[in-house]
Amino acid sequence: MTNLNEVEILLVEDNPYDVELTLTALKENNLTNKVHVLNDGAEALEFIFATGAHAQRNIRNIPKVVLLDLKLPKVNGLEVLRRIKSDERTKKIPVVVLTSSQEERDIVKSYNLGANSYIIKPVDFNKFIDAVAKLSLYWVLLNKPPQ
Amino acid sequence: MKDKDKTKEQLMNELVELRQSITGLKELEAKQKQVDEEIRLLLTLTRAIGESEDLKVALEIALKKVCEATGWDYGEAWIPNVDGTVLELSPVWYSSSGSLDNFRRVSEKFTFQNGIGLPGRIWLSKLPEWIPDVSLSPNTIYPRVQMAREAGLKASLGVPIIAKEQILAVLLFFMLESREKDKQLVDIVSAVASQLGSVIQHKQADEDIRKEKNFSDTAINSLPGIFYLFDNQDRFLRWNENFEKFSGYSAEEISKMNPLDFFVGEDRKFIEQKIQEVFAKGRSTAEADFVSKDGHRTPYLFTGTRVTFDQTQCLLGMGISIAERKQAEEELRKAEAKYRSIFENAIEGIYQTTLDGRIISANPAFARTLGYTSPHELIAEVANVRKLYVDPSRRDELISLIHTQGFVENFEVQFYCKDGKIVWFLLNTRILRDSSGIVCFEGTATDITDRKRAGEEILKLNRELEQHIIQLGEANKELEAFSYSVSHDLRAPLRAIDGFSNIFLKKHEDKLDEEGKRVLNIIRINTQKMGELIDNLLTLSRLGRKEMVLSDINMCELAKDVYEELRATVPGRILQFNIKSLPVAIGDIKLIRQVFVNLLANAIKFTRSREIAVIEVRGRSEKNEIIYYVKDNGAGFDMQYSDQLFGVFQRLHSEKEFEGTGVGLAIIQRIIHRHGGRVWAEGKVDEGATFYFTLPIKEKV
Repeated sequence: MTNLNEVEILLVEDNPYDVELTLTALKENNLTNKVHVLNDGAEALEFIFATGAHAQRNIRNIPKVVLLDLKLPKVNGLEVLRRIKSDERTKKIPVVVLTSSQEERDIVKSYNLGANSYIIKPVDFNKFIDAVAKLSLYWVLLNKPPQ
Repeated sequence: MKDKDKTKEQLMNELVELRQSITGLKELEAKQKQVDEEIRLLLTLTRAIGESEDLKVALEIALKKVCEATGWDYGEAWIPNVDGTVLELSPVWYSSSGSLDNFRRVSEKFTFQNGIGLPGRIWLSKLPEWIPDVSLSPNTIYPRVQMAREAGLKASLGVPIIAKEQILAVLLFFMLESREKDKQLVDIVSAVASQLGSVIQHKQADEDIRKEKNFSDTAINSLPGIFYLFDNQDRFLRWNENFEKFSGYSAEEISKMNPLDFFVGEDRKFIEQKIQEVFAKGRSTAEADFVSKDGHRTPYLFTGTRVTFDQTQCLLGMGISIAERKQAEEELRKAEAKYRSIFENAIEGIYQTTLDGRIISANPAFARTLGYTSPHELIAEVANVRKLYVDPSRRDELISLIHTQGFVENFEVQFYCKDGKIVWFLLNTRILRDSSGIVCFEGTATDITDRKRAGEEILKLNRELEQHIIQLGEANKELEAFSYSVSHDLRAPLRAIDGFSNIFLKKHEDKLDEEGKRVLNIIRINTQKMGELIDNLLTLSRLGRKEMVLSDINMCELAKDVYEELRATVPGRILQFNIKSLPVAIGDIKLIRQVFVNLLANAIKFTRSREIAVIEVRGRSEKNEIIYYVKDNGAGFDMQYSDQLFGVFQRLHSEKEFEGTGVGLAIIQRIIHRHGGRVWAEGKVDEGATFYFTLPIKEKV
């Protein structure tokens, strides 16, 4: 179990197969050790804002990137995004929308709410691996967040 | 006895006789002289009076001449007043001396009744009268005696001037000395007076004739129409100025014309009969056209009366233009005909009812709309208009409105037809008052049944349409939800199948034989294919919903840009791309870009077997549209299947020959149709294909 204060990649995804595929992709790029997976929007909010089940977590320790699915149980992805981006403490967290939806309105809404990127999950596994690898490398290794 | 024998006394006597006879002779001579003078006076007077203009001037001359010639000092004239009751002093008088002015002035205040005073007595007796000395007369004989005494007047002579047995005037002369009646002087003055009477009588007769002539001329010339008098030989004797004016003929011309010359055609014969009728029966009237010299015809009403004039039978009459009356009659007739025509032929119903609802009149349209064969039948069968009302209280509303505002506009009512059907009418009604004050309702009724039904129909259709729109909206929402879940949910399992097949292949490669690997690969290929199909279908469905943003599109640049992108995906191929400047189009650039993507991708795909692929893009402006095409030298197609080309999932090539989902051309068709354009294709197996699309010119789609 990863130390929750040292999470680099927070994956919010309810589909276990997508979770496994994503983790497979990350593993191929040696990025799995600091990945934490949450399966619904409510839990994601608790984690990020260090409340509820995650109250003991330090809110100052922010992940390097949040990979956020849009279609989530309890609280949907767009709402999670809105809450993160409208709070001073959390709005600097890079959020990459990683979803199956190709809907233009989802893309537009996401960017309007402050999403840092919007990735459509390809059906082709090779392309999927490629996409996850590239985005993780970029946000975890290349991107320089403000201190 | 000889002369010498005569005695002295005898001689003396003879001498006396001689003297006497000499005196007699002298007197005779003097008398003769006086007679001569008097005759001369008479002649002078007669001439002067004859030349005088009227009685006043004649009297003035007579008074003066008589006084001067016969030694009178004062002369005056008394004239009967207008109603003949008294004598009044004429303003003309004569006096030899200024000392008589006072007498004159005071006399002016006197009047004399018949038989009273000297003038009155002469008025009554019509005879001359001499008074030797008026100053000696009693007041009864001479009322002005006191004044005469003061003026010193003595002898007086009065003579009457008589014409046609009537006293015209009484002349009075006075002297300042008394004198016994001088018969000769009386005769002379009487002769003068008589002469004067005769002259005046003639003068008055002339004057009367002149006045009468003047009156009749004025009368006939002031007649509003024409006046005519002609004898039984058709010779015009008299006519008025209007006759000349209206006929245009001069007096000289008319005098030579026949009455029938003023008529033409039928009128001529008609007027001839009428003239005969007047001479036979005494009078007649006729209406005919009076023809003037310039040929202008004016309708006239003529009258004729038979009169005797100079012992000749004549026709006297008048003619009055009845042109205005005729025109008024004609206009009235036309107006009536017009009204009648409107009433009879109107499409709208027109009616009049009494206040209590009896139908006074109705036009055929009103009767017809209500199902009656004629207005007569309607009036006979519908005793009261109230019976027509489906809702009789509407009649009360109508009447109350009319009473408050005098009229009613666009009042909608339902009436029963003869057969019980109901028709909608639009009523416009007002109160009508005629000169006798009778009040009725008059109005029009427009059949609006069809309009009403159409209105109801429209309402119904609108409701249905609204329902459809709601349903359509719901269907759209469902479709969106569907495509959303397709987009999101269907792809996840596919990704899992592909992903785990891949993982399985990698992890368990050593445990799989070739057949196992082949089968797993087939699973993967089909999964990916399924993903592509879903993506294409979603694109197609999005096209129908996406709002278009129109702008000018540089088609040449767009096509080149797309080509370059696609070119990069096939690095080993030899492609020849021919493009010339294309007309600018108006459209949604994203969508049109998609059209080029699909067309050019197809062109590249289907020329795969060619050593050198030749792709040509052209465009030209027509009247209302721009036609573009993309031509290739690829596999082509059989024209008999060309109508299937643009259908969803329709493919003319096997998956083995050319991969594809069969959605690309359907997407092109949908985009072009949304722009208001057309798509079609031409081709031949193995000889390439040409895909055409058009976009409308100018008008923003």
